[in-house]
Amino acid sequence: MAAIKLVERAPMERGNPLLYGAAGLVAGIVIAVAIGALTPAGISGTLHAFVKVFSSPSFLALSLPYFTAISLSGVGLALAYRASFITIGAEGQLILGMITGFWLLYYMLPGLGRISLLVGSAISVLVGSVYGLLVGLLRVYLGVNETLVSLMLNYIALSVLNYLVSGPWSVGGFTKTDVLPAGVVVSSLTASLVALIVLVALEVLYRYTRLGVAIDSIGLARKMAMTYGINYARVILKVSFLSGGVAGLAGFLYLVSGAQRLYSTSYGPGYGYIGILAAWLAGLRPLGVIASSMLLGLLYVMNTSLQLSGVLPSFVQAMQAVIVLSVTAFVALSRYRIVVS
Amino acid sequence: MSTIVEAVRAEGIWKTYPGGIVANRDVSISVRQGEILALLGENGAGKTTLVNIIAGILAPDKGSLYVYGRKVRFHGPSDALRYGISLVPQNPRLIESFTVAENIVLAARLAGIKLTLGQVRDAARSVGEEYGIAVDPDAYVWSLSMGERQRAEIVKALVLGAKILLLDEPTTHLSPLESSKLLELTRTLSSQGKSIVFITHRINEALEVADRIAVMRSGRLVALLARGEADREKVLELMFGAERLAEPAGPRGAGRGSVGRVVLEVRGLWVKNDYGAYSVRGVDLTLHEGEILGVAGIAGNGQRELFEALIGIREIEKGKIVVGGSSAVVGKHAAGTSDIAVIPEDRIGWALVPGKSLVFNTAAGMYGSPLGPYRGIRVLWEKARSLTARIVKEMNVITPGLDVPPEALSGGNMQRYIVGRELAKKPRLILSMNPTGGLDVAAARFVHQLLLDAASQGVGILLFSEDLDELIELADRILVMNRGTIVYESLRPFDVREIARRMTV
Amino acid sequence: MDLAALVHQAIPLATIISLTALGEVYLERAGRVNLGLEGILYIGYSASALASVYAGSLLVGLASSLVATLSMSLIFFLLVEILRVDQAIVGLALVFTGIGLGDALGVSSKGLAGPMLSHSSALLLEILALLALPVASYILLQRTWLGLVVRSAGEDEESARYMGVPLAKVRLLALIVESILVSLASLYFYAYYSSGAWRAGRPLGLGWLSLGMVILGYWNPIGVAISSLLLGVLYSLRPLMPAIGIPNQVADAVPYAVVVVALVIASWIYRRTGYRPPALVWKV
Repeated sequence: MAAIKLVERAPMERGNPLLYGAAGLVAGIVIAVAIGALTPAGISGTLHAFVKVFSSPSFLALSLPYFTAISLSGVGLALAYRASFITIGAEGQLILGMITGFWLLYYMLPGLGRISLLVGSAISVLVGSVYGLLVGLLRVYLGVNETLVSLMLNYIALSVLNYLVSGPWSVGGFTKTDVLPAGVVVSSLTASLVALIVLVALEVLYRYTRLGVAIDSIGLARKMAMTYGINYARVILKVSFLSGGVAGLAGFLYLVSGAQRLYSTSYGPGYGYIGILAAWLAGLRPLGVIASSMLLGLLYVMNTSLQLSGVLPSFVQAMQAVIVLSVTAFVALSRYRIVVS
Repeated sequence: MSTIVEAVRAEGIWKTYPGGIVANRDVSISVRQGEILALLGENGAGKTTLVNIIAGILAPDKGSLYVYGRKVRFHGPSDALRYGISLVPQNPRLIESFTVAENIVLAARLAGIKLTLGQVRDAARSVGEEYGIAVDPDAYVWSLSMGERQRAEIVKALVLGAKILLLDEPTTHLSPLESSKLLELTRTLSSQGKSIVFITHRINEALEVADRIAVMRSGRLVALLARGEADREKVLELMFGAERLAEPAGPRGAGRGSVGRVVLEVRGLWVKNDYGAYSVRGVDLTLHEGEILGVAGIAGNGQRELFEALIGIREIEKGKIVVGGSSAVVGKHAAGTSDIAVIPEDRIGWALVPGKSLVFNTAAGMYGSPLGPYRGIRVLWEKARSLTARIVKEMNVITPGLDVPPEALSGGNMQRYIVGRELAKKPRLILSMNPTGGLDVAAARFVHQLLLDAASQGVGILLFSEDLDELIELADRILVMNRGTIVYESLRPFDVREIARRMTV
Repeated sequence: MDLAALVHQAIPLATIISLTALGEVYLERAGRVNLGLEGILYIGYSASALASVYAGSLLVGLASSLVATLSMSLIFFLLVEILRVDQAIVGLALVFTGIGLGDALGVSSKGLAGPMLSHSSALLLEILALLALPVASYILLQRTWLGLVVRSAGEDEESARYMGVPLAKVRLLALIVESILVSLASLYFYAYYSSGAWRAGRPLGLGWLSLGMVILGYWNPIGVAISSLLLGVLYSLRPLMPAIGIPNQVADAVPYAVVVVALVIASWIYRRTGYRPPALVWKV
């Protein structure tokens, strides 16, 4: 009987993870298109939509709001995961960022125009940060599992959103709010440029500051980090605060450049979750998140054409997830040798 | 005794670990039915490797095993168990949230022995009565003391029908009272026909209970003494080598060991181990500038916990640590935030971050040092690179480059890099544990020279080592640690015989 | 509304949550967390809908649901246990995969009436979910040697490996049990709770709540059944909430808040007493 075994390779004999990742990307896209067979669009329809999205620059523009929301959620998560802090709370922080933004821009600071954008974004970031810090505090001081707590906090944030849009902030009996005044609406290009700046800033933070060194040390060798003077608790708190803040900003920017109003869905906006995929797809590198978020954002745009053939929006998320699974599996495979005996 | 029955026979056992360390060289030994065979030896003599091979946990590179005359090949501990061989490891391997009986049932089923919880309870009770081991089968393991866990492991082995018990340093975690109870137990077991291999460092224990004493040194079996032939001094000489003990060792420090100012002072320090028991019990020590203070001892007598407390990663229960003669008390992470160098015993994961470049490792390792490649919150990568380049050059680190992860280096080169990095902090104090563990002679000698040079420049060095020769060669003073306390202090020239004696009491 | 009626109303939802959470109890007891439960339940639901509608048989529906949940679990096993990919990312990716593929499968049965579970079969599943399986699982996990093997993998991986516990096999087995239980839950959800009508997004949130109920029940099968029942009661109280001034959407948040509090309390107990919750999930 032939048995296939995976034998772990010595550290220096491992495959190039970039190469394996690229192969995983190709395989992932093939599988993602192949599962289109299950949809009314079929493989050809899915392939067509896929090629169309990636061949025309106009779709790039359409994908910008998604890019903004996904990349900002993902970049904070990438840093958190590097420190082995497996939060999935970006979605909740993003929702709170949207809520705070809407509350400030629509109710509290109307007519202030551009200034209200500055104030609004700052406070939205702060709210997201605090929501993120909550998870960090529970982790560091009580040892609470950050993954599950952050998930539950997402749902609590979603409930708040649903409550607001169906109750106090609802207009015309629909589960949505009024649109933001035109003065505070920002073009999606501007918003994505802001996101780009933040991403670069976080790459700089990761690459060129003590915090970056501390994050990697803690994630890869916690005992070493503590031995040589890196304070575990402080780093986790900083990372949870920071990742919450950028996710809050993601929500705010998505509100002013994309959604322009709050509305209710049972799924929630979902960009915070896709941010998780973006972070892993990027190999947890802040700059890599730019590329992965562009890819995932473009896939979102496929929705518009696929929906015409009766495909539900969730299918694109499945494609995104399949691609990420394939890439992570291939990268993991670079650590092993396949032996058939 | 009319005929001698050999319960287990190991013949021509060889075992080499990856990295080239030969743990067993052509070891042949037998255990007779109903005897207590004590297995003695220094740290790293190869005792644990040998019993692990007999218990089926390790596979030998060469050699064969016979159980009651039958040649056997084990593929795992369950195989050995089927032949009645059971190992009681140094650190009990029981599932803490299970009861003793549940642990036994689990082990039994995994070995293919169909026992129910009820049967195990009865068996545990009857074994307890037969041999006088009182262990409540329904007690949860987490609620048991180390001594009770040790007994639980023995009960487990007996219930599973062990005829040959391998006890790996069973008294390490026990109080003197508990130890003597355990010795009593082994005697009872052997009188009932069980064969026992008893690993220990404590010569008295061996002399007290053993029918025969086997002594290992550097992977070889060097002597096998019958009860009447052995005495303390003889065994000591066999364990450590007669020539080493013959006369006071080490020349008087040529210009070294001049007593300078105090750089480290430890007063009444109490520290707990991972099992919540005190393993450092009231340690006092003083280290001066330019001095190498060696801490000797058999592994597991609290050295690791003391070291971890000193470098700030283990909670201090009582006592204080003062650095630099000032009143500054070292708290958590203090080692990293001042001019203290730390050379821990594990390289990857404790001294080095795996998967990151050497340049990164320089930055991370010097995170708390004022000389680290930082300005404010910024990392100066160019400075980290030039520091790394200097370390690599000065220490002759053989590496494919500065951007490779430490895994790309051999153990010796990793250690050269680590020592170089730590010296780059221009420390006043070096805390070091087994700095040459697993290194070849040339690499070890290089590390030794670096430590000597540092000391001659006025650095105070606290050196924990399991290698007595290393301490004799380097230290100005040697402290012997046994059961969590400092039991002896020796100045140059060292009375090695007394040191060895104190280690093995 | 009296208590009996309340509990009666609570049973359908509790059945679904309890079955799913029981499956997860096996896996977490064996030392892994499957965050993908939400997606696995979803794809099971859609697969059972599709097959039931087109084959006209609930048994075929169940089989198809089992195939779907098993394939998801196998992906989890392959990536986490064999390739050692982080279980959180695999689980999360499976959520999206499950929902997306579930929608793709289910949408062709949209608007078509499928066969419904008879009341007696439903009752059988309810008894199974809330009484028989919790008790049986409790006995299996706590009172048999097989349970010891499973739990050892979740309590102390290192000692378990030392004793010779085949960790990967144990976890594969736990994943298979989980798939079976989730497929039963999804069939019940489709053919009884939703009266044989598929609608996109219906089971969303249930998988996440099941994960929470595992904690609230403190990894004890009977505890999990009880907390699922409590959750069901909470949900059947919902129509009453607006009357006392609590909006529905706020009521939605209550279960999640309860789980957060449960998590905090469980962690606090661990910190204070050192008595670790029975799962490797709790590495600090």
